[in-house]
Amino acid sequence: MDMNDVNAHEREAIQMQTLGIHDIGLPVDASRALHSMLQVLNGRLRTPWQTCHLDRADVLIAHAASDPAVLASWSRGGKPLVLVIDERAPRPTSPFVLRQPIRVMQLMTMLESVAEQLASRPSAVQPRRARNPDSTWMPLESLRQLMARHGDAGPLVATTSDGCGVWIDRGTAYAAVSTLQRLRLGELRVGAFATGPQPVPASAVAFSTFDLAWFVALKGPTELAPWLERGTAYRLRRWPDFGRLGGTSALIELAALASAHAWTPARLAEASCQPIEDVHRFLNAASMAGLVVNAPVTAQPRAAAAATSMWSRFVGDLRRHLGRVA
Amino acid sequence: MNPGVQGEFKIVFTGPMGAGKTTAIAALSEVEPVRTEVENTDRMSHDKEFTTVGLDMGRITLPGGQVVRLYGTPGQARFRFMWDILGRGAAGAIILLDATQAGVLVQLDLFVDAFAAHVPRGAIVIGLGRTHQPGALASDAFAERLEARGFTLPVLSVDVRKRRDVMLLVETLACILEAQTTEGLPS
Repeated sequence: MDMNDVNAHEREAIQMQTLGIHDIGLPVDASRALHSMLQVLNGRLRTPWQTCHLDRADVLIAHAASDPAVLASWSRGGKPLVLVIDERAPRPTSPFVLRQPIRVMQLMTMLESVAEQLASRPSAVQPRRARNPDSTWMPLESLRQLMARHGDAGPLVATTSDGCGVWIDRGTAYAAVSTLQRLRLGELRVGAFATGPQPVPASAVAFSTFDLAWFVALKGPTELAPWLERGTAYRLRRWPDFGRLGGTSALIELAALASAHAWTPARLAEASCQPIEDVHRFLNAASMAGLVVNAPVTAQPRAAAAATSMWSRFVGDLRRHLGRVA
Repeated sequence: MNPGVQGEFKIVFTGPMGAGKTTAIAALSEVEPVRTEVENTDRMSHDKEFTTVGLDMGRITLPGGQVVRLYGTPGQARFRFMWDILGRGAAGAIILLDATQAGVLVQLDLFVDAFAAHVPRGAIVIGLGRTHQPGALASDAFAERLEARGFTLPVLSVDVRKRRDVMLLVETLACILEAQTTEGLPS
């Protein structure tokens, strides 16, 4: 039994435990609706859930306008926080967000993702792949930790490979226009974030921390990120906005496959006929931007038919016509 | 017309009035698009001079001889019967939305529901315009709305006046169609 099998068994065992959930700061109607949905959903989810007191909760669902002291205290405990925001509010950096009015499907997907994260936390019994604090993962790890702090951190600065700065202040990223353009084109690497003497320059433009996470991971290590597993299948829960982030044909192909089905990294590489290193970077980036979910490993689609399909010929001809040959 | 029958594919551009359907088709078509625009009498919905009431039609001939027909629907809901006519047999649909319009999330639901019934296995791409203008809703809100309704569809910030952006929408749609034919996927 290799490490992936051990992790899978461990995760399955944790998923069978009942998880506790507590909510604060929600309007009365929303809170009642949430509790009703939990009752309806129990039995339909891989992990059972029940409401409980804050002290015993595994997950806190809180309105974004809740007492910052309570949110900060919860965040320090390292347990997942689900932020509830209004329909038109900008998305905060928290990886788990629900928009009001909360819908059953939205809640169901969210709870499955949270349960998956809880199940995949490092355990004392089975150490996960070793992480070297000085490794090439430092930029991503530092950014990941910042994003988990739900926007209370800053200002922090990182240096790009051409010596420019990228800042994060209270959940928003900032950079010079030219730096952002080069990040979008995949031309820059970004170092680890740390407290720096320089404040955010007035000329810097604001952009989403999720976008920054995408850019950094896409230019990051070619190995699978330590928080992902080779034996686990992943699918996209939402597409990257390639209009905003920039997208090559190769990335669009990966996203299309990963939105249609859950794949292990190796099978996704096989299906897309792309190098495993590129697939790793895609999954790392999608994971950092909160776009992927784990899914049970089922029968994996075979890739051979795709190459000869009617649509493949159509896509190939269309790309040649559009001048977007990969 | 079934997708791919007799070497022809149909792609439908849809969305509310003023979202850029006619512009997008003109950006791609190799021939001057057929247009059915008349004077806009519904200035409350969108302040533009002309609007499509029948259909727009453009064409792309691919190197292999296949023809892609590009159809644009009327945007107003009172012409919904045209959505069904044009959506029938389409390989896929591109829904164009204006991120600054009030009620744009409701429009998203309306057009996704109208065309999900026609295109095979959710071959739909959302093109979101005017995302840089004040008051625009971020593309994340659209993606999350779709996720909450059980859809995993691409939402791409685009400017349909730029041919490159329209090409991005079409290429994304083509990749979805290709991915869906991967053996073993549920039909």
